[in-house]
Amino acid sequence: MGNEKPHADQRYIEALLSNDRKLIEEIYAQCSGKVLTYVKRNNGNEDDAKDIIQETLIIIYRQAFEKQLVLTCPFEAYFLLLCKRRWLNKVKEKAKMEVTIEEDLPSINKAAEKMTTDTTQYEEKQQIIERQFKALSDKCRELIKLTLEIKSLKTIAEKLGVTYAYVRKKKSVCMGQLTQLVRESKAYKNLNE
Amino acid sequence: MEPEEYQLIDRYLHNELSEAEHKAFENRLTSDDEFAAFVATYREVQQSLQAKADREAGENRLKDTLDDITSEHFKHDKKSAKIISMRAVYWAAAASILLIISSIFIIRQNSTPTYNEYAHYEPLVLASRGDADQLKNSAAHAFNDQEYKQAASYLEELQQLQPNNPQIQIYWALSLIETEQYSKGDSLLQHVGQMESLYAQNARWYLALSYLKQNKIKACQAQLEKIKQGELHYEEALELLDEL
Repeated sequence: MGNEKPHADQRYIEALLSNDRKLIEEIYAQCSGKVLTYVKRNNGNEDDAKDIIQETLIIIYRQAFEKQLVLTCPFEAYFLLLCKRRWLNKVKEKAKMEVTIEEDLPSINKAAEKMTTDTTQYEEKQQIIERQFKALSDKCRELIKLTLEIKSLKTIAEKLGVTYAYVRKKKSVCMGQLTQLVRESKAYKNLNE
Repeated sequence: MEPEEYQLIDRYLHNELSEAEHKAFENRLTSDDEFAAFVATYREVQQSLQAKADREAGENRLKDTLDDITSEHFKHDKKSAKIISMRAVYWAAAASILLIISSIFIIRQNSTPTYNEYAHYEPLVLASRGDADQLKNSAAHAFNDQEYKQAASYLEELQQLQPNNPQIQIYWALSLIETEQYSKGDSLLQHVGQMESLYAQNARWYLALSYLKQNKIKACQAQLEKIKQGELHYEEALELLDEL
Protein backbone atom coordinates (compact mmCIF):
# COMPACT_ATOMS: atom_id res chain seq x y z
CA MET A 1 0.00 0.00 0.00
CA GLY A 2 2.91 2.35 0.64
CA ASN A 3 4.19 1.84 -2.87
CA GLU A 4 1.19 3.40 -4.50
CA LYS A 5 1.46 7.00 -5.47
CA PRO A 6 -1.24 9.16 -3.93
CA HIS A 7 -3.73 10.70 -6.30
CA ALA A 8 -3.91 14.45 -6.82
CA ASP A 9 -7.25 14.34 -5.03
CA GLN A 10 -5.44 13.44 -1.81
CA ARG A 11 -5.96 17.08 -0.93
CA TYR A 12 -9.62 16.30 -0.29
CA ILE A 13 -8.65 13.76 2.34
CA GLU A 14 -6.35 16.35 3.88
CA ALA A 15 -9.20 18.84 3.73
CA LEU A 16 -11.37 16.60 5.89
CA LEU A 17 -8.59 16.15 8.42
CA SER A 18 -7.83 19.84 8.62
CA ASN A 19 -11.45 21.00 8.32
CA ASP A 20 -10.70 23.00 5.17
CA ARG A 21 -14.09 24.46 4.39
CA LYS A 22 -13.39 25.63 0.87
CA LEU A 23 -12.21 22.25 -0.33
CA ILE A 24 -15.04 20.46 1.43
CA GLU A 25 -17.46 22.76 -0.37
CA GLU A 26 -15.83 21.65 -3.59
CA ILE A 27 -16.66 18.08 -2.67
CA TYR A 28 -20.27 19.07 -2.22
CA ALA A 29 -20.33 21.02 -5.47
CA GLN A 30 -18.91 18.10 -7.41
CA CYS A 31 -20.55 15.10 -5.82
CA SER A 32 -23.75 15.93 -4.00
CA GLY A 33 -25.86 16.17 -7.14
CA LYS A 34 -24.98 12.67 -8.20
CA VAL A 35 -25.62 11.27 -4.76
CA LEU A 36 -28.97 13.02 -4.65
CA THR A 37 -29.93 11.56 -8.01
CA TYR A 38 -28.97 8.06 -6.95
CA VAL A 39 -30.76 8.22 -3.63
CA LYS A 40 -33.92 9.60 -5.20
CA ARG A 41 -33.86 6.92 -7.83
CA ASN A 42 -33.77 4.33 -5.08
CA ASN A 43 -36.65 5.30 -2.83
CA GLY A 44 -34.89 8.11 -1.04
CA ASN A 45 -35.36 11.84 -0.64
CA GLU A 46 -33.18 14.92 -0.23
CA ASP A 47 -32.81 14.48 3.54
CA ASP A 48 -31.63 10.91 3.03
CA ALA A 49 -29.02 12.13 0.56
CA LYS A 50 -27.83 14.84 2.96
CA ASP A 51 -27.36 12.23 5.70
CA ILE A 52 -25.57 9.80 3.43
CA ILE A 53 -23.12 12.45 2.29
CA GLN A 54 -22.33 13.57 5.82
CA GLU A 55 -22.01 10.07 7.22
CA THR A 56 -19.70 9.00 4.43
CA LEU A 57 -17.47 12.02 4.86
CA ILE A 58 -17.24 11.31 8.59
CA ILE A 59 -16.25 7.72 7.97
CA ILE A 60 -13.57 8.77 5.53
CA TYR A 61 -12.35 11.28 8.11
CA ARG A 62 -12.18 8.60 10.79
CA GLN A 63 -10.28 6.15 8.67
CA ALA A 64 -7.89 8.87 7.50
CA PHE A 65 -7.34 9.92 11.12
CA GLU A 66 -6.69 6.46 12.47
CA LYS A 67 -5.10 4.64 9.57
CA GLN A 68 -3.69 7.25 7.16
CA LEU A 69 -5.88 6.94 4.10
CA VAL A 70 -4.12 7.14 0.74
CA LEU A 71 -6.17 7.74 -2.40
CA THR A 72 -5.26 5.61 -5.37
CA CYS A 73 -8.13 6.83 -7.52
CA PRO A 74 -10.15 10.04 -8.05
CA PHE A 75 -11.89 11.13 -4.91
CA GLU A 76 -15.23 11.35 -6.63
CA ALA A 77 -15.18 7.73 -7.77
CA TYR A 78 -14.33 6.54 -4.27
CA PHE A 79 -16.81 8.84 -2.57
CA LEU A 80 -19.72 8.07 -4.87
CA LEU A 81 -19.22 4.35 -4.58
CA LEU A 82 -19.17 4.59 -0.81
CA CYS A 83 -22.33 6.69 -0.76
CA LYS A 84 -24.18 4.35 -3.06
CA ARG A 85 -23.24 1.29 -1.04
CA ARG A 86 -24.17 3.05 2.14
CA TRP A 87 -27.61 3.96 0.81
CA LEU A 88 -28.24 0.48 -0.53
CA ASN A 89 -27.44 -0.99 2.86
CA LYS A 90 -29.87 1.37 4.51
CA VAL A 91 -32.60 0.45 2.08
CA LYS A 92 -31.98 -3.25 2.64
CA GLU A 93 -32.11 -2.78 6.38
CA LYS A 94 -35.40 -0.94 6.13
CA ALA A 95 -36.83 -3.73 4.07
CA LYS A 96 -35.48 -6.21 6.64
CA MET A 97 -35.15 -8.91 4.10
CA GLU A 98 -33.06 -9.81 1.14
CA VAL A 99 -34.15 -7.21 -1.32
CA THR A 100 -32.95 -7.51 -4.84
CA ILE A 101 -32.34 -3.93 -5.81
CA GLU A 102 -30.85 -2.75 -9.03
CA GLU A 103 -27.30 -2.51 -7.82
CA ASP A 104 -26.18 0.06 -10.29
CA LEU A 105 -22.60 -0.15 -9.09
CA PRO A 106 -20.47 -1.01 -12.08
CA SER A 107 -16.89 -1.96 -11.38
CA ILE A 108 -15.33 0.54 -13.70
CA ASN A 109 -12.64 1.62 -11.32
CA LYS A 110 -10.84 -1.23 -9.58
CA ALA A 111 -8.86 1.10 -7.37
CA ALA A 112 -12.05 2.82 -6.24
CA GLU A 113 -13.58 -0.54 -5.49
CA LYS A 114 -10.62 -1.60 -3.37
CA MET A 115 -10.63 1.64 -1.46
CA THR A 116 -14.36 1.39 -0.90
CA THR A 117 -14.08 -2.15 0.38
CA ASP A 118 -11.31 -1.14 2.78
CA THR A 119 -13.36 1.72 4.13
CA THR A 120 -16.43 -0.44 4.47
CA GLN A 121 -14.47 -3.04 6.40
CA TYR A 122 -12.96 -0.35 8.57
CA GLU A 123 -16.40 0.92 9.45
CA GLU A 124 -17.73 -2.53 10.18
CA LYS A 125 -14.87 -3.28 12.57
CA GLN A 126 -15.44 0.01 14.25
CA GLN A 127 -19.09 -0.77 14.74
CA ILE A 128 -18.36 -4.19 16.21
CA ILE A 129 -15.97 -2.73 18.75
CA GLU A 130 -18.44 -0.03 19.69
CA ARG A 131 -21.22 -2.55 20.11
CA GLN A 132 -19.19 -4.86 22.34
CA PHE A 133 -17.94 -1.91 24.32
CA LYS A 134 -21.53 -1.19 25.28
CA ALA A 135 -21.82 -4.79 26.49
CA LEU A 136 -19.14 -4.21 29.12
CA SER A 137 -19.97 -3.51 32.73
CA ASP A 138 -20.47 0.13 33.73
CA LYS A 139 -17.28 0.12 35.77
CA CYS A 140 -15.23 -1.21 32.88
CA ARG A 141 -16.64 1.33 30.46
CA GLU A 142 -16.00 4.24 32.75
CA LEU A 143 -12.50 3.13 33.54
CA ILE A 144 -11.56 2.60 29.94
CA LYS A 145 -12.97 6.00 29.02
CA LEU A 146 -10.84 7.57 31.71
CA THR A 147 -7.68 5.84 30.55
CA LEU A 148 -8.31 7.09 27.04
CA GLU A 149 -8.65 10.68 28.18
CA ILE A 150 -6.08 10.74 30.96
CA LYS A 151 -2.99 8.93 29.82
CA SER A 152 -1.48 8.80 33.28
CA LEU A 153 -2.85 5.89 35.26
CA LYS A 154 -1.37 7.39 38.38
CA THR A 155 -3.63 10.40 38.05
CA ILE A 156 -6.61 8.14 37.54
CA ALA A 157 -5.72 6.14 40.65
CA GLU A 158 -5.60 9.34 42.65
CA LYS A 159 -8.88 10.47 41.19
CA LEU A 160 -10.65 7.24 42.04
CA GLY A 161 -8.91 6.92 45.38
CA VAL A 162 -7.39 3.57 44.56
CA THR A 163 -3.92 2.21 44.02
CA TYR A 164 -2.09 2.46 40.76
CA ALA A 165 -1.72 -1.30 40.71
CA TYR A 166 -5.47 -1.70 40.97
CA VAL A 167 -6.12 0.64 38.08
CA ARG A 168 -3.48 -1.06 35.99
CA LYS A 169 -4.87 -4.48 36.55
CA LYS A 170 -8.51 -3.46 36.18
CA LYS A 171 -7.90 -1.70 32.92
CA SER A 172 -6.15 -4.69 31.38
CA VAL A 173 -8.86 -7.04 32.51
CA CYS A 174 -11.57 -4.83 31.01
CA MET A 175 -9.72 -4.48 27.75
CA GLY A 176 -9.11 -8.23 27.67
CA GLN A 177 -12.80 -8.87 28.17
CA LEU A 178 -13.65 -6.48 25.41
CA THR A 179 -11.20 -8.19 23.10
CA GLN A 180 -12.77 -11.50 23.94
CA LEU A 181 -16.26 -10.22 23.17
CA VAL A 182 -15.12 -8.81 19.87
CA ARG A 183 -13.39 -11.98 18.83
CA GLU A 184 -16.43 -14.05 19.70
CA SER A 185 -18.89 -11.85 17.85
CA LYS A 186 -20.35 -13.31 14.69
CA ALA A 187 -19.74 -10.20 12.67
CA TYR A 188 -16.05 -10.18 13.49
CA LYS A 189 -15.71 -13.81 12.54
CA ASN A 190 -17.40 -13.09 9.21
CA LEU A 191 -15.03 -10.25 8.55
CA ASN A 192 -11.93 -12.24 9.15
CA GLU A 193 -12.85 -15.22 7.05
CA MET B 1 -7.50 -16.42 29.23
CA GLU B 2 -6.39 -15.42 32.70
CA PRO B 3 -6.51 -11.85 33.98
CA GLU B 4 -2.75 -11.98 34.45
CA GLU B 5 -2.34 -12.65 30.78
CA TYR B 6 -4.39 -9.61 29.93
CA GLN B 7 -2.09 -7.53 32.05
CA LEU B 8 0.96 -8.98 30.33
CA ILE B 9 -0.47 -8.13 26.94
CA ASP B 10 -1.27 -4.63 28.06
CA ARG B 11 2.21 -4.10 29.40
CA TYR B 12 3.70 -5.53 26.24
CA LEU B 13 1.73 -3.14 24.11
CA HIS B 14 2.90 -0.24 26.27
CA ASN B 15 6.49 -1.42 26.13
CA GLU B 16 6.61 -1.93 29.84
CA LEU B 17 8.05 -5.44 29.78
CA SER B 18 11.62 -6.20 30.74
CA GLU B 19 13.92 -7.45 28.07
CA ALA B 20 13.55 -11.01 29.12
CA GLU B 21 9.79 -10.77 29.40
CA HIS B 22 9.63 -9.09 26.02
CA LYS B 23 11.63 -11.85 24.35
CA ALA B 24 9.52 -14.56 25.92
CA PHE B 25 6.37 -12.80 24.83
CA GLU B 26 7.52 -12.52 21.24
CA ASN B 27 8.49 -16.13 21.17
CA ARG B 28 5.03 -17.05 22.23
CA LEU B 29 3.57 -14.90 19.49
CA THR B 30 5.42 -16.87 16.82
CA SER B 31 4.57 -20.27 18.24
CA ASP B 32 1.01 -19.76 19.53
CA ASP B 33 -1.29 -18.68 16.67
CA GLU B 34 -4.35 -18.18 18.79
CA PHE B 35 -2.45 -16.12 21.26
CA ALA B 36 -1.04 -14.03 18.45
CA ALA B 37 -4.52 -13.51 17.02
CA PHE B 38 -5.84 -12.46 20.41
CA VAL B 39 -3.03 -9.99 20.91
CA ALA B 40 -3.64 -8.59 17.44
CA THR B 41 -7.32 -8.00 18.24
CA TYR B 42 -6.46 -6.51 21.60
CA ARG B 43 -4.14 -4.10 19.87
CA GLU B 44 -6.82 -3.28 17.28
CA VAL B 45 -9.39 -2.56 19.96
CA GLN B 46 -6.99 -0.41 21.91
CA GLN B 47 -6.06 1.57 18.84
CA SER B 48 -9.68 2.00 17.82
CA LEU B 49 -10.81 3.26 21.19
CA GLN B 50 -7.86 5.57 21.49
CA ALA B 51 -8.40 7.05 18.06
CA LYS B 52 -12.04 7.61 18.85
CA ALA B 53 -11.15 9.63 21.92
CA ASP B 54 -8.36 11.54 20.16
CA ARG B 55 -10.40 12.59 17.15
CA GLU B 56 -13.49 13.66 19.05
CA ALA B 57 -12.73 17.39 18.97
CA GLY B 58 -11.70 17.39 15.32
CA GLU B 59 -14.67 15.29 14.36
CA ASN B 60 -17.07 17.67 16.03
CA ARG B 61 -15.50 20.60 14.20
CA LEU B 62 -15.89 18.73 10.93
CA LYS B 63 -19.50 17.91 11.72
CA ASP B 64 -20.24 21.58 12.33
CA THR B 65 -18.68 22.50 9.02
CA LEU B 66 -20.66 19.80 7.24
CA ASP B 67 -23.89 21.00 8.82
CA ASP B 68 -23.16 24.53 7.64
CA ILE B 69 -22.27 23.51 4.12
CA THR B 70 -25.27 21.19 3.87
CA SER B 71 -27.77 23.82 4.85
CA GLU B 72 -26.25 26.34 2.45
CA HIS B 73 -25.70 24.00 -0.44
CA PHE B 74 -29.17 22.54 -0.42
CA LYS B 75 -30.69 25.91 0.37
CA HIS B 76 -29.51 27.10 -3.01
CA ASP B 77 -31.68 24.46 -4.60
CA LYS B 78 -34.56 25.64 -2.51
CA LYS B 79 -33.77 29.19 -3.60
CA SER B 80 -34.06 28.26 -7.21
CA ALA B 81 -37.25 26.47 -6.38
CA LYS B 82 -38.44 29.74 -4.91
CA ILE B 83 -37.40 31.55 -8.04
CA ILE B 84 -39.26 29.07 -10.12
CA SER B 85 -42.36 29.49 -8.10
CA MET B 86 -42.03 33.26 -8.37
CA ARG B 87 -41.92 32.79 -12.12
CA ALA B 88 -44.97 30.64 -11.80
CA VAL B 89 -46.64 33.48 -9.97
CA TYR B 90 -45.76 35.91 -12.75
CA TRP B 91 -47.13 33.54 -15.35
CA ALA B 92 -50.25 32.96 -13.33
CA ALA B 93 -50.73 36.72 -12.99
CA ALA B 94 -50.22 37.25 -16.71
CA ALA B 95 -52.56 34.43 -17.53
CA SER B 96 -55.27 35.70 -15.24
CA ILE B 97 -54.99 39.22 -16.61
CA LEU B 98 -55.30 37.80 -20.09
CA LEU B 99 -58.28 35.82 -18.95
CA ILE B 100 -59.91 38.89 -17.48
CA ILE B 101 -59.32 40.92 -20.61
CA SER B 102 -60.64 38.22 -22.85
CA SER B 103 -63.68 37.66 -20.70
CA ILE B 104 -64.40 41.39 -20.80
CA PHE B 105 -64.01 41.11 -24.51
CA ILE B 106 -66.36 38.18 -24.63
CA ILE B 107 -68.88 39.97 -22.48
CA ARG B 108 -68.68 42.94 -24.82
CA GLN B 109 -69.16 40.65 -27.77
CA ASN B 110 -72.13 39.14 -26.10
CA SER B 111 -74.12 42.32 -26.45
CA THR B 112 -74.12 41.75 -30.18
CA PRO B 113 -74.91 38.07 -29.77
CA THR B 114 -77.85 39.29 -27.79
CA TYR B 115 -78.91 41.10 -30.92
CA ASN B 116 -78.40 37.92 -32.85
CA GLU B 117 -80.44 36.02 -30.33
CA TYR B 118 -83.42 38.22 -31.05
CA ALA B 119 -82.99 39.16 -34.65
CA HIS B 120 -84.95 36.37 -36.25
CA TYR B 121 -86.51 37.59 -39.44
CA GLU B 122 -89.50 35.91 -40.85
CA PRO B 123 -88.69 34.73 -44.32
CA LEU B 124 -89.76 37.20 -46.93
CA VAL B 125 -92.63 35.97 -48.99
CA LEU B 126 -93.89 38.41 -51.50
CA ALA B 127 -97.19 37.48 -52.96
CA SER B 128 -96.90 37.24 -56.65
CA ARG B 129 -99.60 39.14 -58.34
CA GLY B 130 -98.25 39.06 -61.72
CA ASP B 131 -96.43 42.31 -61.47
CA ALA B 132 -92.71 42.47 -60.88
CA ASP B 133 -92.71 38.80 -59.99
CA GLN B 134 -89.16 38.27 -61.02
CA LEU B 135 -88.01 41.19 -58.94
CA LYS B 136 -90.05 39.94 -56.02
CA ASN B 137 -88.48 36.55 -56.38
CA SER B 138 -85.00 37.95 -56.50
CA ALA B 139 -85.66 40.17 -53.54
CA ALA B 140 -87.15 37.35 -51.52
CA HIS B 141 -84.37 34.98 -52.38
CA ALA B 142 -81.69 37.53 -51.64
CA PHE B 143 -83.17 38.42 -48.29
CA ASN B 144 -83.80 34.87 -47.20
CA ASP B 145 -80.28 33.94 -48.24
CA GLN B 146 -79.09 36.78 -46.07
CA GLU B 147 -77.62 38.59 -49.03
CA TYR B 148 -78.79 41.86 -47.61
CA LYS B 149 -76.93 44.22 -49.90
CA GLN B 150 -78.58 42.67 -52.92
CA ALA B 151 -81.87 42.40 -51.13
CA ALA B 152 -81.69 46.09 -50.25
CA SER B 153 -81.29 47.15 -53.84
CA TYR B 154 -84.05 44.85 -55.07
CA LEU B 155 -86.37 45.98 -52.35
CA GLU B 156 -85.59 49.63 -53.07
CA GLU B 157 -86.68 49.02 -56.62
CA LEU B 158 -89.79 47.27 -55.42
CA GLN B 159 -90.55 50.07 -53.05
CA GLN B 160 -90.52 52.51 -55.94
CA LEU B 161 -92.88 50.25 -57.81
CA GLN B 162 -95.16 49.72 -54.83
CA PRO B 163 -94.65 52.64 -52.49
CA ASN B 164 -97.37 51.81 -50.00
CA ASN B 165 -96.39 48.29 -49.25
CA PRO B 166 -95.37 48.13 -45.61
CA GLN B 167 -94.01 44.63 -46.03
CA ILE B 168 -91.59 45.80 -48.67
CA GLN B 169 -90.71 48.78 -46.56
CA ILE B 170 -89.95 46.67 -43.53
CA TYR B 171 -87.83 44.21 -45.36
CA TRP B 172 -86.02 46.93 -47.19
CA ALA B 173 -85.39 48.56 -43.80
CA LEU B 174 -84.09 45.29 -42.42
CA SER B 175 -81.79 44.85 -45.39
CA LEU B 176 -80.49 48.35 -44.83
CA ILE B 177 -79.94 47.71 -41.15
CA GLU B 178 -78.11 44.50 -41.87
CA THR B 179 -75.84 46.46 -44.16
CA GLU B 180 -75.45 49.10 -41.47
CA GLN B 181 -77.36 51.83 -43.25
CA TYR B 182 -79.05 52.61 -40.02
CA SER B 183 -80.46 56.10 -40.53
CA LYS B 184 -82.41 55.11 -43.64
CA GLY B 185 -83.48 51.82 -42.13
CA ASP B 186 -84.52 53.35 -38.82
CA SER B 187 -86.56 56.07 -40.42
CA LEU B 188 -88.37 53.55 -42.59
CA LEU B 189 -89.23 51.46 -39.54
CA GLN B 190 -90.37 54.53 -37.69
CA HIS B 191 -92.60 55.38 -40.55
CA VAL B 192 -94.17 51.95 -40.68
CA GLY B 193 -94.30 51.80 -36.91
CA GLN B 194 -96.64 54.69 -36.68
CA MET B 195 -99.54 52.77 -38.21
CA GLU B 196 -101.84 50.43 -36.39
CA SER B 197 -101.24 47.27 -38.39
CA LEU B 198 -99.44 44.05 -37.61
CA TYR B 199 -96.72 45.29 -39.84
CA ALA B 200 -96.48 48.30 -37.57
CA GLN B 201 -96.07 46.07 -34.58
CA ASN B 202 -93.29 44.23 -36.36
CA ALA B 203 -91.71 47.50 -37.38
CA ARG B 204 -91.66 48.77 -33.81
CA TRP B 205 -89.93 45.57 -32.69
CA TYR B 206 -87.40 45.67 -35.49
CA LEU B 207 -86.61 49.24 -34.69
CA ALA B 208 -85.77 48.29 -31.15
CA LEU B 209 -83.51 45.61 -32.53
CA SER B 210 -81.86 48.10 -34.80
CA TYR B 211 -81.07 50.33 -31.85
CA LEU B 212 -79.71 47.29 -30.06
CA LYS B 213 -77.48 46.48 -32.99
CA GLN B 214 -76.20 50.03 -32.94
CA ASN B 215 -75.62 49.71 -29.22
CA LYS B 216 -78.08 52.53 -28.56
CA ILE B 217 -79.27 50.82 -25.42
CA LYS B 218 -81.36 53.67 -24.04
CA ALA B 219 -83.13 54.16 -27.36
CA CYS B 220 -83.70 50.44 -27.55
CA GLN B 221 -85.20 50.35 -24.10
CA ALA B 222 -87.47 53.27 -24.86
CA GLN B 223 -88.60 51.62 -28.07
CA LEU B 224 -89.23 48.30 -26.34
CA GLU B 225 -91.48 49.98 -23.83
CA LYS B 226 -93.67 51.15 -26.67
CA ILE B 227 -94.61 47.53 -27.35
CA LYS B 228 -97.84 46.84 -25.57
CA GLN B 229 -99.21 43.62 -24.21
CA GLY B 230 -100.99 41.60 -26.84
CA GLU B 231 -98.91 43.04 -29.59
CA LEU B 232 -96.49 41.06 -31.62
CA HIS B 233 -93.14 40.37 -29.96
CA TYR B 234 -94.39 41.52 -26.56
CA GLU B 235 -92.81 38.60 -24.65
CA GLU B 236 -89.56 39.00 -26.50
CA ALA B 237 -89.57 42.67 -25.74
CA LEU B 238 -89.98 41.96 -22.06
CA GLU B 239 -87.16 39.45 -22.14
CA LEU B 240 -84.89 41.83 -23.91
CA LEU B 241 -85.77 44.61 -21.53
CA ASP B 242 -84.81 42.31 -18.70
CA GLU B 243 -81.48 41.54 -20.25
CA LEU B 244 -80.58 45.12 -20.86
